[in-house]
Amino acid sequence: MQRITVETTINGTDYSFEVEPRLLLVDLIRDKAGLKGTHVGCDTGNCGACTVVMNGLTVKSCQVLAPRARGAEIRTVEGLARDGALHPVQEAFWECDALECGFCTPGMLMTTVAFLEEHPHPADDDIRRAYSGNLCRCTGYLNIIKAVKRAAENTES
Amino acid sequence: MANYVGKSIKRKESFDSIQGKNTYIADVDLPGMLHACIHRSPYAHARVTRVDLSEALGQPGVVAALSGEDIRRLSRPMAPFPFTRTRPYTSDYPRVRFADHYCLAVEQVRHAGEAVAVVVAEDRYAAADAAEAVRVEYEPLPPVVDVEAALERGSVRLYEEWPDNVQYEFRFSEGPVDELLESSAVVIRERIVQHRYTGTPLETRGVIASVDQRDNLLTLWSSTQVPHALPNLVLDTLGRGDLKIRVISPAMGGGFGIKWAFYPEEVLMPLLSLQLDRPVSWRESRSEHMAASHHSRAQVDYAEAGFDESGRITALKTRVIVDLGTAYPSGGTSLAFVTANFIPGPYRVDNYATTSFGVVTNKTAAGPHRANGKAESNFIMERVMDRAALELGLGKDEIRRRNLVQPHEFPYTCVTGSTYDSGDYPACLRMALEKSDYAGLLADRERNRRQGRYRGVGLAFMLEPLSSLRPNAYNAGYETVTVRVDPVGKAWVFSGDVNMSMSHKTTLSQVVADGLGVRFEDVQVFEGDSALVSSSSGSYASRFSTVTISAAIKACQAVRRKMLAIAAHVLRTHPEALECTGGMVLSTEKTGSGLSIKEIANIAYYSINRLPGNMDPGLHDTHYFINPNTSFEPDAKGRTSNFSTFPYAVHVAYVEVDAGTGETTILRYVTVDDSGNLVNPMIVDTQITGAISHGVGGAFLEELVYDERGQLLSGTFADYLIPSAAEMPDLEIHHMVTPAPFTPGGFKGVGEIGAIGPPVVLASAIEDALTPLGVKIMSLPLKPENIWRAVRERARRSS
Repeated sequence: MQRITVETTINGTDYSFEVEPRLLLVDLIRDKAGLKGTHVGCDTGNCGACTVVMNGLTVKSCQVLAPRARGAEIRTVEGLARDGALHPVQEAFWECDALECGFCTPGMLMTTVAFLEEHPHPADDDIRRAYSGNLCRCTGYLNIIKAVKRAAENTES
Repeated sequence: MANYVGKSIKRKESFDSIQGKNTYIADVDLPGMLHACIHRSPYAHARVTRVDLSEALGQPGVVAALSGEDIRRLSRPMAPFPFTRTRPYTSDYPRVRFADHYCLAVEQVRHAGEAVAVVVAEDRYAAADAAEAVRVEYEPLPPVVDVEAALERGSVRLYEEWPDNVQYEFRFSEGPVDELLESSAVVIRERIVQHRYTGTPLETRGVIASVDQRDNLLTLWSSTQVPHALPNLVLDTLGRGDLKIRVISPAMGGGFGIKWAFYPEEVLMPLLSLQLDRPVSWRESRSEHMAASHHSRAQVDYAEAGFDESGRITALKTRVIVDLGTAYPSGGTSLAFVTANFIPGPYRVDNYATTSFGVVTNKTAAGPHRANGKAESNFIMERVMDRAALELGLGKDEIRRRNLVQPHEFPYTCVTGSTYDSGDYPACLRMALEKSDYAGLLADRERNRRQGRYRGVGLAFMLEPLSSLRPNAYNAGYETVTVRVDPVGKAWVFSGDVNMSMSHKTTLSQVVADGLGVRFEDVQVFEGDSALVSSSSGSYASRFSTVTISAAIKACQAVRRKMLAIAAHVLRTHPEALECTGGMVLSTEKTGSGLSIKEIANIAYYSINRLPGNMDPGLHDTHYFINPNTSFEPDAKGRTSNFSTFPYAVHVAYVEVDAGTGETTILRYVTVDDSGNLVNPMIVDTQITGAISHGVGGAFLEELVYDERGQLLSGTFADYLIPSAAEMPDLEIHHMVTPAPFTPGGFKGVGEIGAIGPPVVLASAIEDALTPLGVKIMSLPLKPENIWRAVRERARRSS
């Protein structure tokens, strides 16, 4: 099969891959860049476990073809902690017990990072609506809502 | 000494999870690993007349392909699970039949999505392409879809060698049930339908096999809840008694019972790896998961309950018909056993008769899902109690109060033979009424009713039997833990459980830190690998905090005794005059006298000349814990006592129903549970909240819908809806505690009780809201369209 070059930036590192044009972005991130923190839960764009931030916007990376990431700036969960210090969003999720199995967590965290940039003072209902594309099967969401609010407070202070 | 147990300590597990550093099965990448993809049947029931693999084998990157005929030559039918072929029970019932299913369909397919052929390629995309190039010729057969029709004489049979479609049968009778029903003041007779839904963890399943030919060692990675059951099952099925096998269950993205089974891919990958001498990996897609990983809950039940004038239950008679789907070794028969045994629930029922069938149909095999059989048994009984309350003109609270087992009756042997360990049911009910302001809710309902709004109050009392023991099963029910203090004084804990989301590392660290008197940070927990301990029943049925933690406590006691004996010998004192705390063994009599655990470990491993006479070196213990509240031998009535611990809860829900659309809004949701002592209250509350979200999904959203041809219509997350943050109500969670008397820490287990509640209490609340319209709710799910239909149907009949 024909191969094409995809040059892209993930968490500040530049990559260049020769890939099949049909390769999904999530497989590029996981298998080519070796960043396994982004997960696949459903294949249909419903669960949000594969959520990453691409050019400032959240995308479900199982619904994006890898060539679309040419020249893009991508952020994944591996890019959150800096110099050994956790990101405030990570801290808030840990403190509020907003995860159990951890499979949805990277997607939740990336959604939160992008969401808080747009909504620095979110109300419960804003969060409930904004997170309807990120499914969690363990926590029942209430601690996630708490964590998003906690992260908003921590980011502000 | 409790420095850590009982405290809400942040989870150890979260540190890796929030950085995306867990290794799930899909993240395991071995050198030279090949990728398998499975071709699945589009038919629910058909003869397989021809499988042509030639086109698939000709695709680029493809290295192998196998059909059912190949599998029949290379292996045996899948070994039964969870029971061995030995009769599992000592009494006449239950009766169980086994079917010969190979890991690929041979000659016949019996559900849409059944594995028919497998292809192996150098990468996942190539394997998926090749699986589509497999050509199969089918001769369709009439599908058996309706479970009650499957039970009728003359129905098409799934297994020609069986006389009918009954895989499992259980009968039990105690007391003159028919006579009592005849003479009761009020008799409730209902048909109750519970729908098909399942656990759907966010991570699907996956299997990888790798063979070390020199050592004859097969290593199997599987997202399984039962790593210790698989070695026997896989080797029996492969017919390769010469192999050694190690099963690793890596970090798991949720299990919820669906990963408690013996699945075809767990034979298929080892077989391919043995043939190809390379590691072979299979990763399940979500649509495969929906179509081929097990389903749960579906049953049709008939209940007859007699009550006297005062509202006391005189007799209960039930007929339980569980829709098992196919008879793959998924453990589905346990659904029928648990449901039938525990319908009487928290109530005093002295006269009970039940007939329970597990019936095969052309659907995906059924198996456990969080609150296996218990969600179902409680739903049946609580619907009956609500109807009886209406009939007798009693409050929902009052009829329950009059029938609950009383605190002085514990340990209470229930009519089907198990012994309820402890509790104060009336106090739990009282607390739920107070916390929810039940009287206030009823008054508010009346005010709203007068204004034409349909508001209703639901009340449900749930009992959760758990931690069962079963001889002749690969999960016999006891648990094994090894505790070791290493030569530098740190504690190592080896458990047979798997890491699927329940915070085992944190809670075991709390228990072991207290048990040995060491720091929480100095405890390292290992699980999810059959090489760690010799035997384990795995992780399911909220059993961790009853049996695993109990085994850990007992193992700590033995290690602690040895540390104290060494310290007493060195310090020339008595063990009774010493205590373990903060990583030290200190004298309680002489301030300043003591040894660090590191010093004791140094003596135990190196300075062995300082050990007391006749003492072996080392600091470790392995404990096998059997809950004593069980008995295998049938009593005079032929009953065995399989379940050991019985948490319970009361849920109260206040809802408003839009009679025009059938949509329900939850206004308040209050819970009170008794799960015994709590190791970590924060983790308990998260577990309860998550379990309630499963119940909310089961009540309102989740349904595995089949059409009349046996086609699954809700096969992706676009059609099978699980709750998102938008659908989750706020919760008010409260606890009461009666410590479990038969486990050393007094813990009862808490993983499932929350999942039982929502369908039960929301049916109660919605029926209450629609009482002015005369609507009766006897079936699940409570989707708006179903409620809307019930309202319309009722209106049509009364006009």
